[in-house]
Amino acid sequence: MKKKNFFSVLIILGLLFLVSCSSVVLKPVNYSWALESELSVTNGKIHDIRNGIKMDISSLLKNEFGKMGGDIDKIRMIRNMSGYYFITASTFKNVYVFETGNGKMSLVRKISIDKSGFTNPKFNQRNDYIVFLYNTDKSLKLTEKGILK
Amino acid sequence: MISNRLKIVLGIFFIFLFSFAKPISDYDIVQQFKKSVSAITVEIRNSTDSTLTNELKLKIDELKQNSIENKALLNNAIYPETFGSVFAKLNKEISQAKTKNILSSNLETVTKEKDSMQVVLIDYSGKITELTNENSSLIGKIRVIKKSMKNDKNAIFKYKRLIEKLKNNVETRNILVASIVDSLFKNMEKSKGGDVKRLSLVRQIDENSIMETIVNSIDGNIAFMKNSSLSQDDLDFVLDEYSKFTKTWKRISIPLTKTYYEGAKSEMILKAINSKLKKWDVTIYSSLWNKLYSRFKEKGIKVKKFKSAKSFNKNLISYIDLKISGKDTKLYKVFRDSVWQQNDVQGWIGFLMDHRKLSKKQVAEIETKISEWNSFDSGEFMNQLIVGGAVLLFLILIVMFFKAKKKKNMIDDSSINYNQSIVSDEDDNSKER
Repeated sequence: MKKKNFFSVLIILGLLFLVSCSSVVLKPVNYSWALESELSVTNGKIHDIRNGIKMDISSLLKNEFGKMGGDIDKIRMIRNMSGYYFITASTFKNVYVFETGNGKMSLVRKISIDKSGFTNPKFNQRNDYIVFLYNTDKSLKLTEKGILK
Repeated sequence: MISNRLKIVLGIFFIFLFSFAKPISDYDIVQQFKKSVSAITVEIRNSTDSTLTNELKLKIDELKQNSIENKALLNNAIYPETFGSVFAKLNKEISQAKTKNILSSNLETVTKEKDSMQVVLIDYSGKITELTNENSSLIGKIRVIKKSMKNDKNAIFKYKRLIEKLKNNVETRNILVASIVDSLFKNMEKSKGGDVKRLSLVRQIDENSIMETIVNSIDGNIAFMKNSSLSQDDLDFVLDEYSKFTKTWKRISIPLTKTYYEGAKSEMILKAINSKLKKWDVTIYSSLWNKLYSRFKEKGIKVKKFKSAKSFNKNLISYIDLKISGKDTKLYKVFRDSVWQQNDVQGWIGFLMDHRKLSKKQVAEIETKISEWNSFDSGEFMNQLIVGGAVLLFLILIVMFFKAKKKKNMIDDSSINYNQSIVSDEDDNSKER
């Protein structure tokens, strides 16, 4: 009797586990933005109305410029096909790659571009990668894993 | 034939060239596109003439051509707009601008027209008022002179001059009124119910004065008719003016009355002016009948008053019949020579016949009566002639008789004397013997 009950419970639990595991999966999903967003920074905050994102980038600025942060007017942001956010700005030295979390964005990679800081940064969406244009005449192919060679 | 070496060199050159080509940002492409679209839109909205609009059409086509390779990017970037919808909007802006330009041009034209109409109206209205006042004064003077004009050559001369002046003024005023009407109602007859915008424009610039002017003008023409000498020139002038006036009136009467009045009032005004025109027409001929009657009266021909062809015919014939039946030939010559055959009387009769107010038959009947009167009058004359002749003959015969008798006596006397002389001679001879 006890064995029977035990097995019944086990089967029931197993079924429950299966049910909870068999969540609906949608794929493939293309998260890419056709165009980068150029966003004004106000008190360390940005608001991308078009894409529906509002966030505080103060910690990003501190990471880039140190404790004092930087005096940045605009940042540029794009999302690649896989859903990673690429963020940078003029006078930055790096391009930051973020992934979304629960009410937050977590840094995945910090791609070093130019140690002296670059100017005129632009992102172009190319599905398989992001083309990063900087210093007027330079370009790099970026993914969430870094620079594509 | 280009050599292989040259091809390689050219290939390397172009690769080198393109390697230095500035990388283009998608964001910049989109921004540039948006700027171009915005700039063109502003230019379209500010354009004021169709040539500029056409140039902008070319710019739109050029932008489309230049942007077509980025269509996919633009479709994504400018969502919810699309590449196609942006250009559709621009083309719509162009056609709206064209319409706006046409309307502006029309408005400018209408404004210019309005201004010129106003100038004409003010200028001509002023002149018309001056002429109307002058005409009133002339008519006053004419009436005074007419009373004292009978045998006064000076007065007759003055009268003719005043009539001429009045005629010129009436003609000038009629021309000014017609010019105002033409200016205000140009091409009115081309619009079926009247040009609504034009009518409202007319209403804006003219506050009923044209209606008053038309009425005064008709009255002025009637007054001239009543006071003129009705020479052939005057009659031709009056009829010509009447004909011109009625033609113009026919063209503009309905849109004109509808401009100023609505519904029943419009009908009433139309009727009133038509009635005035009828009065003008009637006055032309009634004045002539009056003139004719006055002429008979002046010469002592007491024919009953006539106002129409029928009464003219009837009254003259009955007058002559009366004279014939009463064997009264005294006034025949006066009737014929001093009235009937006078140039002006014949002119009036001819005018009435030409305008079908008197028929040839009616005139022929009167002339037949006159001839009858003439033959009756001639018969009496013949009788008188015969009697006179007979009397004269009788007198001649008496004279001849007495002459003959006297001669006979003279012969008798001379023969006695001769016999007596013979006898005395014989006596003498016998004595001598």
